[in-house]
Amino acid sequence: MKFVFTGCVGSGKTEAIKTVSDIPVISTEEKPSDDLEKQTTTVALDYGELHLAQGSKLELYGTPGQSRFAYMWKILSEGASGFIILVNHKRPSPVEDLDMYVENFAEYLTESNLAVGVTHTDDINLMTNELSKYYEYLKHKNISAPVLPIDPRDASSVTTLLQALTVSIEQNL
Amino acid sequence: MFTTFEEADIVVISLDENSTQDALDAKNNSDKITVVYGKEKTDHPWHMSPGGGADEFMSVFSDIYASLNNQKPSQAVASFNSFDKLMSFFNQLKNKKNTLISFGNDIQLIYDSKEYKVEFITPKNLSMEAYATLLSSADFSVAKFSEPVSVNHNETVQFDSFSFFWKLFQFISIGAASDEHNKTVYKQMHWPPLTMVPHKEHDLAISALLMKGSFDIYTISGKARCQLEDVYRYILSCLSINFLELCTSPASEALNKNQPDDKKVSLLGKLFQKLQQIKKGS
Repeated sequence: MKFVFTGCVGSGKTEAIKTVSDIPVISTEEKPSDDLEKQTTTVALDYGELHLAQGSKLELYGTPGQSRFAYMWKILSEGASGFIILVNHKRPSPVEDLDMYVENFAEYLTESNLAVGVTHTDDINLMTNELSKYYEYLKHKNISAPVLPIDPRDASSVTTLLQALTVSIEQNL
Repeated sequence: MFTTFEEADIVVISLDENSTQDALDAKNNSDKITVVYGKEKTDHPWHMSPGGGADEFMSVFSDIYASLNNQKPSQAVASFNSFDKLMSFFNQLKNKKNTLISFGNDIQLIYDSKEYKVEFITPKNLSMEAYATLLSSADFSVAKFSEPVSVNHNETVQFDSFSFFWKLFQFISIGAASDEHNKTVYKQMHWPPLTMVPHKEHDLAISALLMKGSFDIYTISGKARCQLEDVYRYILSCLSINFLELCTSPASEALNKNQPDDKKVSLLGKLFQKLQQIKKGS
């Protein structure tokens, strides 16, 4: 089973996978050539695993954030059961960011295989009214998906989002 | 002479204007040291390069190789004090997997809207003959010349010689991400899909190609900065075939439509249980 983390540069995809993976994450982090504040950025993929009972595993893939790697998004999305879009809440237009990824992953999204994690929030207990703009956007797109504020560095936080996605998938089987 | 060459996981030859010209000088004039492979220009001890951009490539390859194999690539250091010995070294490479020949930034493929040309852009008096001699002496498959060529600095060769360079560049494209001219060149050449990425990312792709281990020789431009989608696909195939089975979850594990619902629920149940465990432990 395979989940894909995507979202804009600096939204915490690599960190989220590292936080929960049972294996050392295979990262393709390189110094960005464009004008980013980050020291490194993912250029091909991140890969981690969650080892489940009876030899099963969940494969966690992180995509590059930049749209110039859009072809990697498609490659990594093949066969995925769930998608997590991370949105950097502090970016100027986070809803537009979300829209960009929803649009680009549209062919892979079903009514139940998406969860949205809102990162870079000052308060992990983000007020509902701050999350409402994401819900309103998803509603406008006829997408029903959990939206949760998360801290990618915190395992409990990341797993809550993964659980929300898992429940969402299961409920719609 | 080749201290640890036989044990090397990978061999990189990096030819730039200096090393190539020096090699020719040695052939013609003396037995002075022509090409030195070693630690001089890099912190990566197994890296052999007097130039050609291989140090950039190597820094990426080293990290990836180490992360996937839990060890650094083995070391290969060689130095040569004559042209003949360099040729001998090249001939040994014919039978060795994972050989990369990295050319410097001194040759470019130019399309002037009418025809393709090869142009040398270095300030040195480097000739195509230099490359030709080095490669053809070792009878590399990528270096078959239909006719002798001799082109000096800033001269151009016509399409007749393009086949040679096409072979050189058929695997990896060259160009600069910031260079609109090169973007145009490759678009006109119909190289799909012409995604331009910075050279560090290009180097990553090359690293993956090397790890694949199923080729003899690849040629790149050491300063190359654009990259084909196919090369990135190689990254995934390399990783999946040789290391992690990335991108191809076993069908039985996927939540695909053909799977019975109870199996899907079972798999999701295992996942939920695992997530609970992580939560409790965090």
